Amino acid sequence: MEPMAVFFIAMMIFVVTLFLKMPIAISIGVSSLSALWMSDISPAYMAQICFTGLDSFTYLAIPMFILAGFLMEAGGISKRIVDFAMSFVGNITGGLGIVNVLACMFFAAISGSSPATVAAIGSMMIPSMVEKGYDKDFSGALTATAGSLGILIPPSIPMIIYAVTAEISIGDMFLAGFAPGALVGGALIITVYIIAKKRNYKGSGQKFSVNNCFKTFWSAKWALLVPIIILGGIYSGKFTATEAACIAVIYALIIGLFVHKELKFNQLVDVVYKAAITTGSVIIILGFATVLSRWLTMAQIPREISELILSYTDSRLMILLIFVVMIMITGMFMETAAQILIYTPLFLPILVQLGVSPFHFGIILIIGTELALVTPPVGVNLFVARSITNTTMVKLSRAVAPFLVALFTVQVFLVFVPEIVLFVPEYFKKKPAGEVQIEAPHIPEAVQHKVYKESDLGEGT
Amino acid sequence: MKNIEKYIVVSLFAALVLLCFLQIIFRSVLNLSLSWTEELGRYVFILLVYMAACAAVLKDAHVKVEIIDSFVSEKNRKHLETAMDLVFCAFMALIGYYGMLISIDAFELELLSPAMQVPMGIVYAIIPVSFFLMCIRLIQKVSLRYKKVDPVAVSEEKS
Repeated sequence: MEPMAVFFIAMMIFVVTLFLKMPIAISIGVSSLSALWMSDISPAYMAQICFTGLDSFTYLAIPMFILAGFLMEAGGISKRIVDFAMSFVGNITGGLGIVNVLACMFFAAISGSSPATVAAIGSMMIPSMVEKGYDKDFSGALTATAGSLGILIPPSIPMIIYAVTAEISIGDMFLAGFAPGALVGGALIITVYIIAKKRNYKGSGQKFSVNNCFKTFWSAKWALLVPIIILGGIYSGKFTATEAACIAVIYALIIGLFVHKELKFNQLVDVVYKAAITTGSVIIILGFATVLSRWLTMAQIPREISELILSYTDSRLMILLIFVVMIMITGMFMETAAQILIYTPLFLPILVQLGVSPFHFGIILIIGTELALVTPPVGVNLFVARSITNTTMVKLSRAVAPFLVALFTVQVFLVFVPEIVLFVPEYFKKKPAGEVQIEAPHIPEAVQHKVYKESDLGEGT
Repeated sequence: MKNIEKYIVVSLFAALVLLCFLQIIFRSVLNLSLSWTEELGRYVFILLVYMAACAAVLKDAHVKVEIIDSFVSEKNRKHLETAMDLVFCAFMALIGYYGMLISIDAFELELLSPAMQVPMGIVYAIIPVSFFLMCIRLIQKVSLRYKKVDPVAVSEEKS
C-alpha cells in the first residue's frame, strides 16, 4: 500500500481508539502496529524497538528529574519559592496571579515536567487565590498555563527527548529555553495584569519591604541553588544531563531530609512509588511512539511531506507557520513525547536544509507541546488544575483562552525572531549555533533502519 | 502479590539512582570510569519503565482521554472500558510473544552484553515478562470491575 495511505489509516486508528478511552500509549502502539502490518513488517520489529528505543543512557535523566521534582515538592522547596515570589510582587494589582506565574517559572527551573509544576505550585497558589476573591476558573486556568513553563525553562524532559531524537546537544538546547521562557512568563504576567485590572483583583495586602524580600530569599536559598547546580554542572562539562539529574535527586533528598526536615523517611517509599508510576505512564508512550517515528522514516514519509510542502513554498517562515498551525491542531489530541517523536523527523530535515537552526525549531516545537498541554479536550495540565480547583472542564477551558492567546502570540513572534532563542546558547559558545546544524546531518533513524532492514526484518514471522 | 510491582519499582528506582551516583563518584572523585554501571543502569531503567507501566494499570494511571464519558451511560461505559482493556491486553500479549521470540533467539545465538557479559537473552526477557505481567493485571482489572470492586483501592491496600 502507498505509505501515505498507510500513514493516514494509522492516524485514523489513533484518533478513534483515543476517543474510545484507550490509554494514549496503547492508542499509539495499536496504530503503529497497524502501520507495520500494512507495510508487511513483522511485529517483532515493534517488540525490538520497545527495548532498543529506550536503551539510551540519556533517557535515564527523565525518571530522575521526575523524582527530583516530587522530592522537592515533598521537601518544602515549592513553598519557599512561593513565599519568595510573594515578597516581591504580592501587593500589586493581580499580585497573587503574578506570584503564581513567577513561582511556576522558578519551579520550572528546578523541575523538568509541566504537570508536576502545576501540581506543586497550584496546590498552594490556587486555594490562596480563591480565598482572596480571585475567580476559581481563572486561577486554575492560569496555573495550568504558567505550569507549562516547566518544559520550556530548563531542565526539561521534552527537551531531552527532542535533543536525543534530533541528535543535538542537550546543554545547548537547555540554554536555548531561557529567553523564550522569560518571554512567555512576561506575556502571562501582562495578561494577568490586564484581566486583574478589569476585574479589580487586589494584592495580598502585605506591604512591600526589602527586609521581607531578603528574609524569604534567605529561606529559599537552597531551592534557588538547584538551577545553578544542574545547569552549571551540565554546562561546565562536569556532568552529563543524566548525572545532573542524579545530583538533583541526591540534593533534593539531603535538603528535604536534613535541612528543611519536612521530608520524612517513612514518606520516601511513597514518593518514589509516585515518581515511578509517572515514569511508567510517560515513558511507555515514548517507547511506542519511537516505533511510529522509526516507521515514518523507514516509509520515507518525511521525504514525501517535504516534497509536498516544497512544491507550494520554500520559505522557511511559511513552513514554520504551517508547522505551528499543525501542531496546534494535533496538540488538542496528542501528548508531548509522541508529538516530538513524530514531528521531529517530519519537519526537521527540510527546515535544516533551508537553514533553520535545530534549536530554533526545537523551541517552537516545545512551545507547541506546551500549548498541547493546555488545549482541551486532551490537556494534561488542565486535568491537574481541574483536580485542584474542583471545577468543570468546560469552565476551565473557557477561562484558559486568554492565556492560550498569549502563549500562541509568543510562539509566532519567536518564529519571526530566532535571535531571541539563539542568543543565549551563542553567548555561551564561541561557535555560533547556526553552524552546528550543518555539521550534523539529521536522519540518524533512517540509517539505523537500513541496518535493521537488511539483517533482521521478517524474522519471527 | 497485590503490591509486588510496588516493591519491584521502588527497588529498581533506588538502584537506578545509586548506580548513577556510583558512576559520578568513581569518575569524578576516584578518576576511574566503570563500564558496567552505565550498561546496568540502562537495563534497570527499561525494566523500571515497563514494571511501573504494570503498576499503573491497576492504579488507573495511564493517561487517557475521558471525553466520551459525557456521552455514554454508566453501564455502557463499563462495557466500553472492558473492551478497551481487552484490546490493550491482546496488544501486550502479541508484542510480548514476539519479544519472547527475540529473547529465545538471543539465547540460541549466545549473545552477551558488551560490558557485563550477561546473556542478552535474559536482558531481552524484560519485554515478554513485563508485558505478560501487564496482561495479567489487565485481566484482573476487568474481573474486579465486574465484581464491583475499585481496582485503585485494591492496588493501594497493604498486602
